[in-house]
Amino acid sequence: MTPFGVELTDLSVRFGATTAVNGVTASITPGAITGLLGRNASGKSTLLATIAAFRKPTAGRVLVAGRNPYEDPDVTAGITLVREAGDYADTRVNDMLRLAAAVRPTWSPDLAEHLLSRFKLPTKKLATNLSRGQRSALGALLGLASRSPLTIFDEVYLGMDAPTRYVFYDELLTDYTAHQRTIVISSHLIEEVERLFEHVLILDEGRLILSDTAEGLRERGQRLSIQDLFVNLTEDTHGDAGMLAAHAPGTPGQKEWR
Amino acid sequence: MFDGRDPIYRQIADQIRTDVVEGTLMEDEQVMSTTQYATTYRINPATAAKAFAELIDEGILYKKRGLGTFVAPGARERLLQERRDHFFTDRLRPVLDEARRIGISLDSVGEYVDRARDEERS
Repeated sequence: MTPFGVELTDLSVRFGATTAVNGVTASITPGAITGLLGRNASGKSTLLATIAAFRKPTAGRVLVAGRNPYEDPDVTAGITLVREAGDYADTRVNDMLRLAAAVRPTWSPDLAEHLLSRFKLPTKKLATNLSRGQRSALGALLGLASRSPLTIFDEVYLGMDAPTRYVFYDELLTDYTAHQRTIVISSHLIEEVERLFEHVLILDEGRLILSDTAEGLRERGQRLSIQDLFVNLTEDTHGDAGMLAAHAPGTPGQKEWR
Repeated sequence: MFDGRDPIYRQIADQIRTDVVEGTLMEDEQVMSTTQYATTYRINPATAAKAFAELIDEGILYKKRGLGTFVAPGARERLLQERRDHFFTDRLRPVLDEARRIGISLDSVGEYVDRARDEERS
């Protein structure tokens, strides 16, 4: 299946008085791994849930593979969103895999089998009875084995210990190089994952403040890591981030950081 | 590996250049694929591809369709020539500037070079 691209135009999502996503215009390159970075409560999860058609935009537009994904089963069949908390019912692990295989046209039973053993997951246990780390690993497995043309990992590795996270990164890269698809990884822990990214989007208080290639960022950061840039850009004083202002995407609302 | 602050693609390209100059990578020898780079060093494969593209542009590497990427014939000589061309401006000039700053005369530098030459001959 061809990887899905994503186009967001002036997208806003509000809950009552709270604006979680505020006028975001951005694109996610098909076939690339994009990092969505932002502090806690910066709107990452809401943005991703809206892209995955779990939510309806309040204003603006989401296009996935050129179509509005909301209530469009042809598009949503190709989008897998894995969330940190896990969206699990009282279901055995092997039944969850069977369910995923039934609804994901691109599902790979071989990869699922391989990841079960890599993550050492018990198949007969109820998903809700797994430890937090195991639930995260199960999420990673479901996301990877679905091989969806748009696969989104929303802080999925937070519950994993370090060795398990590295298994996840390695399996992700190995399978991605063989089966290229669009992958979005959100995180507020950047150092470990930044090398996986081809593109980076940074969200701050619901607004997109930066969109660039990861290597472009390293070049412009004058020998700062993406981690350093991120801290600079999102800290309250907005530090010496002014040097990057010229490279931010053409969206309104970045003036507050010069 | 590749954890400096420079763009990773540049670190990969520099590493390949060094390997070619030192003869660790021989001409017409195959280099690791972008996939191997990605999985070995846990980096995005596009990052490795960018390093390859730069080196192919410079004529250091060449691609064989379906087979992989190889060190170009003459790559080592070309890299050596490049380094020689820049030796005086990029390497020696800063040393001479520093010598003047800290009060070492060009004569003393010359004497040092003479001594080094004698040592090399004996």
